[in-house]
This record gives sequence, C-alpha cells and structure tokens, in this order.
Amino acid sequence: MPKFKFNPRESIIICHAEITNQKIELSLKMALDTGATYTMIPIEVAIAVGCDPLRSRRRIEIITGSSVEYVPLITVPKFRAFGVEIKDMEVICHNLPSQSPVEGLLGLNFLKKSRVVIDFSKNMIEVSVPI
Amino acid sequence: MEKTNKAERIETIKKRFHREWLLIAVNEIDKATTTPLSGKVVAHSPHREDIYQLLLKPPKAKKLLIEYSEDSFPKGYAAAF
Repeated sequence: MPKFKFNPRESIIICHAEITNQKIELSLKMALDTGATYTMIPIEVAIAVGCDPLRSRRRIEIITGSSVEYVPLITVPKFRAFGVEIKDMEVICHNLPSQSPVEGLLGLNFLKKSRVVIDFSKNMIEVSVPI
Repeated sequence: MEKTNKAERIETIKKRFHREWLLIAVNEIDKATTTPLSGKVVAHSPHREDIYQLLLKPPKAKKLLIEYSEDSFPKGYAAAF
C-alpha cells in the first residue's frame, strides 16, 4: 500500500495530481480536501488537456465559505493521485485565488474511490487501489 | 523563459525561485505517490496567469508540472476551501 508523508507544519495537506490525455501529462499541486464534494482544477489546465469547460453543458453550483459559485463540470480522460489512476473522472473547473500555493483541490469524488487513511500521529497517508 | 540543460530535483528548483510560479518539464516522477521528483525549468513568473497562458500553446515536453515555489500561504493567511 503506497504511503505518503505530509508536512505537518503546512496549514493544508499538499499532494500532487496528474491529468493526462494522449498528448500531455500535466502535474499540479493540490490540497487534499475532505470537505470538497468534487475535485477541482484550474480552467486553463482543463483546456490544456483538451476538455474546454466552455464547451461543457454541465454546470454545478458549489457552496464555498463566502459565496455560491456556478462552475463547469467536465470529465478528464485520466486522473492520477497517490498512485491511483481514475479514468474518465469528473472534476469541476474553478481557479483558486492566486494567493493560494495550490492550484486545485483533491475532493471526495476521488478519495471515495480508494481506501484512504490519514494518520496525523505519523503525518502519513496510506492509499490503496480503487475499491 | 528559462532553459537549462540539466535536470534538477524539484525541491532544488523551488529553492532557486522566490514566490514564483514555475512551468517544469518533468524528467522523473514517483509513480507510487504521483509526486514529480526532477525536471527542467521551462518558464517562471511571479504571475500565475503568465504560466497558464503558456499552457494554451504547450511546449514540446509531454510531461509538465505547474508548481508554485512556496508551499505555505502568505503570512497571515489560512485556508478554508
């Protein structure tokens, strides 16, 4: 079972995700967010992997800490984080404020497809293959 | 734009740039954790939008990483996504 050590001094749990199509593999710095229903990526990243959110007819309202946003919901061909690959994964497209050191959120729609154990006593995350 | 011939560890690259957004051609990735390990800097800018603009016409490298040089929020900020 892959183990991932996180930095307890940071105010969020930082991880990387990879979004892939046939031409490009894009890695992003994300925050693991068990409070997010969907995984979220920037609009420009979605366009770069050939999933233009402007062409998506699917939209969803997300409730953030300060407002309700109406954002595109798209399907990316391949999404990988913690060594777990999900094909045809739904993500929402929204850009976090530029003060954020991460570009997206790894949300529950990814985490629920694996066995994820966050051990704060060891600063360790264990993730197993999809259920 | 910055082009280097030698691949460097991602953490080494991040230390060279202060509060900048980086576009890195990835050489090596830890597949078990999906963590990029090394690469070459393709571009850097204090403005995230500059890096995003480059994505609209991506460089030749197939594996790219977008990375902010800092992992922490600016002083006085906390996260509530």
